[in-house]
Amino acid sequence: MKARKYENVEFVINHSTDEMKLSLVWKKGGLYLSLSGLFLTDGNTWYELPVKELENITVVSDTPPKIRLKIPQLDIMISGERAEKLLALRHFLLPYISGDEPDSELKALLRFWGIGIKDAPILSKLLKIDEETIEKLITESKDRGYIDGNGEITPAGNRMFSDEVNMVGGEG
Amino acid sequence: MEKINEFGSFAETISALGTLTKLESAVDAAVKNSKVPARETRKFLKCMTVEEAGNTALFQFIRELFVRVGLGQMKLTRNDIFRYDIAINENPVAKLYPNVTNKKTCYITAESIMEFFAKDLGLPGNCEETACVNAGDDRCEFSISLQPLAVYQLALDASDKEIIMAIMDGSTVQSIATKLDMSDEEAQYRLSVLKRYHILDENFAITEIGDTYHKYGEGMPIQEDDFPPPWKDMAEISGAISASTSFAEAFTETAKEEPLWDVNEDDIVNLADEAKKSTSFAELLSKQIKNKEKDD
Repeated sequence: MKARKYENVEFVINHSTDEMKLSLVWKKGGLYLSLSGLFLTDGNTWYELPVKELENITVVSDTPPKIRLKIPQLDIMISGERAEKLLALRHFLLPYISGDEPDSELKALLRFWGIGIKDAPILSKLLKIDEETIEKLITESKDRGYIDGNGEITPAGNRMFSDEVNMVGGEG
Repeated sequence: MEKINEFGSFAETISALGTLTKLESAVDAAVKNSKVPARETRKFLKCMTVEEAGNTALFQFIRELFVRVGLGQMKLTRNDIFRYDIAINENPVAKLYPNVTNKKTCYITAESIMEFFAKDLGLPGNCEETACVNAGDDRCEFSISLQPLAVYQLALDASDKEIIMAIMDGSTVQSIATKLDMSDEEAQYRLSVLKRYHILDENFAITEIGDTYHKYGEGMPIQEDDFPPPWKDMAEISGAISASTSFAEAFTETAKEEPLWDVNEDDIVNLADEAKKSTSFAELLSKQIKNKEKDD
């Protein structure tokens, strides 16, 4: 199997279905590109991450640069020397990952719902979506567990925005 | 030529990653150097038409900035109060994925737009690609959904808030200009903005949204620092972008020279396969240890 080095990294592999998350000691090694996807190696074992199995890649922190790769039952955290290289890898891989992300209209509705605007005609005006679709989105939000039986946004609904760029005021 | 699944060859992959690394560096430098004063963002938010918004100094700056970063020429195609749509013809990012079909690919563009809106304009939210040439569309399109409270806090200034207070206190629309010492034209303009933002209804009465804003939004004023807009010194921003991308260029050159490693099949653990077969991580580890012992 051929592989080409991409970056010096530290990594840790967690089993994501264990009740208590097990966490190995961070291993120093390399991230490699291979014929079948990605490899992580500590110099002895080569851990293969098939791209077709990837469910998600998220940025955990900017400083130090750290990303999390999710494959069924496993979380792999990778920390690299250069943030831009890990971010580039993430953006390179994202198109190959098919996720079941809720659409933007549903997110927009939940954003208003979260600040107390729940009236369908008003939501229709604000979102420029017909009322019938608004009702469908509300039903879908309830079915997906984003709005509870009391009509309140749930923690799962709130989490919809946890990945949003939320920092107001940059350096500069 | 060797293929890495649907990625393409090693050379294509390294080249695409090099370009993406360069873009990441450029976006980071651009965002760090492009903080926009609230008064300029407010002008953009208060525009009534897409043409008007597209012609603001702010949007002209955004267009120029993203060209210099390398993300292509943006066109504003929609300006609802909480939603802005942007189109990019001949999107350079889409060209980095020549082997992807029927999928949207330009995540870096969507996230860069949102980073700029959140960090430089103070408008958090979400941006996603809604059409992509790699998905078979004519051009790439992006939809920005902004958090409503942040938009209200930035779009409406102290005079707008005075108008809301005056109307809540029972003042008539006709008396607003006199009461707040502003011209009739200004009062009419501000009232029309408040109507557009659904703070006032067609009869200039406070709406449910206006009431919600009054309760929650007005109590959380944002701090507005006054400083020159970033387009006053575009040369400095360009310099920062160029300096930041030098590393990425060096990376692309050295990455091309990295040798191909021959990995022994016996040393490989396919994490996805092992995780499926194992009921716990402990079992997975145990398997690895047993395999290692057998080998030894």
